[in-house]
Amino acid sequence: MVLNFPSKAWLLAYKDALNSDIGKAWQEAAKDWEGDFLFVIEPEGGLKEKVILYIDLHHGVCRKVEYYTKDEDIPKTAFQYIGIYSNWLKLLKGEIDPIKGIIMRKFKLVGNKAKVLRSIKAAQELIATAEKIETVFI
Amino acid sequence: MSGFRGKILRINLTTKKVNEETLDLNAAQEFLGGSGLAAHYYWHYIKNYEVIPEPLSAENPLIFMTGILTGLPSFCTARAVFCSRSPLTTFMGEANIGGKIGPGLKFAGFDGLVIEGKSENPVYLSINDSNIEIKSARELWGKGTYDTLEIVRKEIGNKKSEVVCIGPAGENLVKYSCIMTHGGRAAGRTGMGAVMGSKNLKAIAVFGSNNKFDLPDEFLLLSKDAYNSVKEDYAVEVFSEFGTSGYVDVALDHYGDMPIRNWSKGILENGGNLSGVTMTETILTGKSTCYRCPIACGREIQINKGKYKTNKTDGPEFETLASMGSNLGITDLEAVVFANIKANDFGIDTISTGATIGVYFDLVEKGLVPKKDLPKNIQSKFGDVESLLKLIELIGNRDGIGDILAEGSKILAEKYNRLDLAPQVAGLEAPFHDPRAFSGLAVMYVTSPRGACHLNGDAYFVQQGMIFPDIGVDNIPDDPSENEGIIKPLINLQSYRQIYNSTGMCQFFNPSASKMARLISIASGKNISAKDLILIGDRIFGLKRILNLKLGWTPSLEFLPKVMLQKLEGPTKGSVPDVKIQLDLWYKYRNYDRKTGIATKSELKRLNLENYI
Repeated sequence: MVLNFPSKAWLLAYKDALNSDIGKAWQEAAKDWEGDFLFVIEPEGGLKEKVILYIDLHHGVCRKVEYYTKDEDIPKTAFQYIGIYSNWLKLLKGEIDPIKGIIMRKFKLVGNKAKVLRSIKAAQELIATAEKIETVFI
Repeated sequence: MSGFRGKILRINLTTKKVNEETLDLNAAQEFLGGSGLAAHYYWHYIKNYEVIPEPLSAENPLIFMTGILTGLPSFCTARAVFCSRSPLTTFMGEANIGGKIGPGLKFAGFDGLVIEGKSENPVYLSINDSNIEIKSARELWGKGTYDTLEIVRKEIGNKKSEVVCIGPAGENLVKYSCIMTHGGRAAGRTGMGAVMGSKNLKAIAVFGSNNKFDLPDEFLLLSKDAYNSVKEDYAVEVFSEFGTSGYVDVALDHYGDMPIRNWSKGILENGGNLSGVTMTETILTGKSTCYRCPIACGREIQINKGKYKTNKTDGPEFETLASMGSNLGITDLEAVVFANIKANDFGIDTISTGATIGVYFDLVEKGLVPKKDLPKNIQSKFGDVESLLKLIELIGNRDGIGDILAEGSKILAEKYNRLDLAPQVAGLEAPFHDPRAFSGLAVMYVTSPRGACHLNGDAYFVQQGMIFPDIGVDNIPDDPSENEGIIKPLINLQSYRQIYNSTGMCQFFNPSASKMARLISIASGKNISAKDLILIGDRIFGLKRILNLKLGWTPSLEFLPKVMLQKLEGPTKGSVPDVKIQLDLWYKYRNYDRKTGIATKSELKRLNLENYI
């Protein structure tokens, strides 16, 4: 099924993908990972308001996801990965990788950089799994 | 030009004559100081020689030059450069140094220092504003750099004096000996320490009392604006938090940009032990910084127990963790820290030292070093820390096998008929960024003015995503193994880095080129655009090429040795750059003649370099 990005349905499908065979490479790479994320999608073009995806990752399992818009009460997380919509689009199409995205100033990472530097493979696989979801963009 | 003081100090160590000269202001405008202006001065120095002075002869001058931005109240304006004919490459040598010595010279009222001749006995220079003294260094000769820096500062009686010095390696004319300053910072590359040693010059101490420059408030505002534009950059944040060693994890696991076992392996088990994150979590006690630098990439460490116990001192940067760590198959962080301190104390460039020892281990492993040449009680094999530590001593003292290793990797490999194993270009050992990870490093290494170098075109940064759209360093192909689309932007980058190496700005400070141009405009009193910076960079690059040709360089040296072109497993996935394609395009876009290596007539005219031919 093709899903809109961003949407609650897409986020739930992403959780399922991470916890299924599709996300095996991520599960292996993230087996020691502890820390929840906010994927912050800044409004741009067709996306009229900020969307925030809460994703709780723990030892290779995606434990919980939540979908927020800007007016809601956002939980405090260990990490935030922030970018405008068109850059998320490029990321999910595999046109830029998550690290290059930061260096290119297309994304901003907030949180413990040491932990992320140590988990580059997990970060890559986290995005690689998202790429596998059949997605339609706004 | 408010960025310059307008004076050059010329000291002849043979005659002990000290002269203050007026700065060549036209040349200063054309080249912006630093290595560009030093190249101009060097060219003038040698132009009348029928036989150009050998690198370690008294006639070969050592030039220390600040840039137009050095010491100015901006950010990251600490850099200055030592230039001379290199004993390692025999071509134009340049070694860039941070710390505070460059600003110190400016504050003393001088833009540059030209040291000629050779002292009969060991001496050091004391520059205290306009009071210049040549003092005996008899008691200092033979001492390591850490002691020398402290003793000279004490002897001068001014805690604010900045000192640079050589160690025993420079005295022993090790071809890649360096010039050290406080905080483990070095003018590391191309053997400038040996040039100092050949002149019996142990140290230079500088104190300047005038840090004021005639600059408008706009300069300060622009500087703040430039810093604000980069302070949240990923590289700035990582280098600030973890030092350059913060790159280790990504380099090893993600890009394959940290050569392993003499550039011959793609995967290093336990490589994460070497990372800046590990350093921060275990032995880091603080950070150190150059003049007016908010990044503070320098590391201060202390090891409290064990074999490598050490008091608080400087920690290794990425290049050393690679050269003496991954390159030698060593993943013990504390051992590399210890080796770094030892190398710094002897005053040898850690890049060339690690690279040369790597070639030696490779030769031994392949059975190419006859038994008679092998030192006793050293295993001489990858992964062996004791071999590394002992070899540093042997090199620094030119003792036994160390005497041949002290000549550099090229001569070592040639001795055993395996030049292909030496990771060097034109005699300079490559820094530890891999053209198999970022293809553009290939053309940057082979065309660099000083041999394989990461300060004359940091393609690894650009191919990771750092861009300068206002000077055509953009539209970078996504594929890091690409060979064609990358060339035009990298030529611009190569020229832009000449600006950094000349102005005295640190390459970790990267606001837009337009912001840089504005800062330079104010400092020079001349309206310079971002595009003009590329023209000036082209000119500096062109002059260095002319100089190198005069010193015997030829395009036949533009190749990467086989050891750097092996296909590897791991993150680079067997990728190998096509140097020929890259070079063909480089010559075409640079408008240089492929056979002679020199700029075409029309290009020389465009660059205003016709008078240098």
